[in-house]
Amino acid sequence: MTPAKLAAIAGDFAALTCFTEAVDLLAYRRDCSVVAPGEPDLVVRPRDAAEVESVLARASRDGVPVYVRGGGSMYAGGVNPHAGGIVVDTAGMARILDIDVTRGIVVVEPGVRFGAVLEALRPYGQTVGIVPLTGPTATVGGAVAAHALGTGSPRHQSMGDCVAGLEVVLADGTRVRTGSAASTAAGFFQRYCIGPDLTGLFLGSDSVFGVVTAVALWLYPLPAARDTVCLGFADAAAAGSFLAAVQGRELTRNAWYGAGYEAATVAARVLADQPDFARDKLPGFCVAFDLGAEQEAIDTDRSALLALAGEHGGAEFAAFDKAYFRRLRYDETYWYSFAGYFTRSRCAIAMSSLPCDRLTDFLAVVGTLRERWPAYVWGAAVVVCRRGLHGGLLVFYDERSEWAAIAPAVDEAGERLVAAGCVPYKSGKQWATQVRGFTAYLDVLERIKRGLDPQGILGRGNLGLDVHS
Amino acid sequence: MTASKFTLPAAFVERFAADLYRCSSCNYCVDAVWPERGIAHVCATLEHHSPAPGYSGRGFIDAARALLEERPLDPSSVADRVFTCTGCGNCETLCPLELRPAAVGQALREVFHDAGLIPAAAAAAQAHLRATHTPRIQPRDEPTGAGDAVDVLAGCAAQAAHEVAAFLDNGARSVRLYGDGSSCCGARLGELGAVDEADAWAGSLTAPRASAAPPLIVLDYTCLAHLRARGAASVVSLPAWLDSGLTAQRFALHLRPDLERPPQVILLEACRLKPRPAMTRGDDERWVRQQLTALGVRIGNDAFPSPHVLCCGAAGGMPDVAPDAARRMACARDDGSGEAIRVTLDARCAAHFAASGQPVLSVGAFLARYCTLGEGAAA
Repeated sequence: MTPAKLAAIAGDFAALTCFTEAVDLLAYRRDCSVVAPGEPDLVVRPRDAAEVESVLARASRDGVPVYVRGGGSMYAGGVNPHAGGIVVDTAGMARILDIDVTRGIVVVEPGVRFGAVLEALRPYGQTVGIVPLTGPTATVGGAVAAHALGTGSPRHQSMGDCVAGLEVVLADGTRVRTGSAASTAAGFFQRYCIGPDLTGLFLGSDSVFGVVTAVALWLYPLPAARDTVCLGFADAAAAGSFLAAVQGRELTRNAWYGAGYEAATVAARVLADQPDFARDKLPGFCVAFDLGAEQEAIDTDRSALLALAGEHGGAEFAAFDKAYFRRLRYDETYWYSFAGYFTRSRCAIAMSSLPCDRLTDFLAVVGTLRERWPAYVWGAAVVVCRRGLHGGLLVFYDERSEWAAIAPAVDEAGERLVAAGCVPYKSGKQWATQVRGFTAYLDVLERIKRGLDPQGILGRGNLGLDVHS
Repeated sequence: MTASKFTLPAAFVERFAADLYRCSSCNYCVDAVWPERGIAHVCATLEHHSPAPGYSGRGFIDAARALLEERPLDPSSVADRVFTCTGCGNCETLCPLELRPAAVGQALREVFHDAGLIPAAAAAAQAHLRATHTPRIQPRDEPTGAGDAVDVLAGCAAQAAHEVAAFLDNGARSVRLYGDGSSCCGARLGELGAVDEADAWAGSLTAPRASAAPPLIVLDYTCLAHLRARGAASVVSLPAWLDSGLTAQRFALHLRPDLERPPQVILLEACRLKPRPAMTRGDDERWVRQQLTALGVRIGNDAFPSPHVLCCGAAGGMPDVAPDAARRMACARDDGSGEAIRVTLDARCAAHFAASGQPVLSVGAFLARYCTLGEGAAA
């Protein structure tokens, strides 16, 4: 952006909170990912949807790129302003607009952090369906835009399943409400009304189709009790078939969280806690559940999980529960579990979706990458969903010396995962190359993009889309 | 402002390279809501001075890295931000990776000071300190009594020191008020980036004290940490000194007998007491709570609200560099305690609260006003 243009735009936003000094723009260059940073020209913090409308209308006038940022704790580069322009920081829109326990809905502005939502709902004995592992800083708007996962994934799979409706401002400044709230007189109470699921268009879209200015989430009762159980299997194949069976029998119904851990992770955690633990007793793969429900239901499901594990050659493995998982969940260090991956240096994360029967293929990719890129430390874990898994592939590198060198390794990781039948999850910019390979899918996205944002000002570079005038 | 090339000293880079390059940009140090741990906000400066992220712990790390990588950045704007920090350390206690954003900011203050780039308000505060304070002090009063000897450092907490000295002095102890309101250990200079000078002042203050000198009670925890870090022997906090005496039964602590009923207090924790290197730990806070409870004082808050509560704005040079924000920070600590007396361990915080129109007593002032020190069983 030229200085004159920047000055003109900044002048038009004089009534808004804006950051223009280089030292304040640094924080908006990147998210937690290894995707290259961008260079924002200006950051705006609108206070409400009306101000978002004015920002987008102004940006559209000059074709200025706009990126939207919440907590910035995602790892796919969706908020990195590669095309420069304006970053809309949702921190100024952090109000809880409505809690309607009768309708089972909470409506929030996009900048509300999950910690604030949970605190507001606690007196009602309620919670929301998905809480990302970076709850203290992650925003609801960001979670919606990036398909958040975390606590709740076994029951809901993804953040999108927990959204009853949205309010969105389009590139030209038009505001729209989706779901039942398309009817002003009705408000938010159901998602699938009138016609196609317009809410879904904006979920996981990394703000390329519009800027979310309000989110209606379903409410769920807080569990009366909780318990953890860890199960060990000889290998990932057995664990994968077990997980498919769990999902088929809906034994995820009371699972607050579920995850799978490969042998290296299990060994490291158990041996750190019990150095004398017999290594030949360590399982090849571990599946862990954090169950939340009435105690009787927990007891029933726990027994069922143990029995089912036995049918797949598995058994309870309490050592991992004690060494790691129970503490992770009960001490609420899961809030840190994401950032905790960075304890060595930094890491790139490629999150993909995969069916349970591809678990061994997913781990085989990890093994191949370890052989081909031995200079880096590779790790993997899976999050259990209502159907299928989310597979997180992590690669640790030294930011200072390996920042550029890590990129080809991450690119190759993406290629191999897709070739193995995994699907990019939380696309952002990190998976852009792979998404461009899904030509029919991308073609439809581009047609929608041209209709909603013909100048391509929103989220330029995200989702593999490259539509702009 | 034009960006100019500014080089960070090699010593800074060596000390903080890991912090600069391990930061994952998770933003826990900028803004977080974590009710289970009592966190509603993180940074008092962002809440009460400016929301610009350059003022946050992450902002300091980003700026340092940008300077290291010779990105176009105006060092004076960075200086403005690092000097508008209370040094409360919330960013460090929250960091999941145990990075040191507050220390990065403090070190950048030293770098900018040495480069002559400190903000005008900070420079003026330094000049004022040099003109009105000195580390060269002698005890002002002759010790009274012939027993248990102790000195009480005046300086930043002069009024509280007077009250504490009078409280401790009941004839059974040899109490000296050490210095007066013009005395300074140099901690405030160090906060403003003049670290070498601060070290020299600490040495000047403690050097005349003989190896057999009695313990020196220091009521300001920043000063206490500063003196300890520079090797001063026998400097002690008031709670720690009282604890040793009570344990040895050299004296006994009682509520004043003329009180109609035991007072009710709200205890405000002090940022300086977060568990960090060179700071005293939470022992003093626990001692105060236990001791007051044993005396029959009604404590209105079950526990200190949180180790992450927002700073009152007393430290880090905040009252000098951003006085309006410092005042807002103090006023924001009004927790509606009503009739209860608000007490904080750090005398400098108490003085700042008072200057901001907030009635808060230091623990020494509270003890002086509501308690007596009598003979112990061993006396």
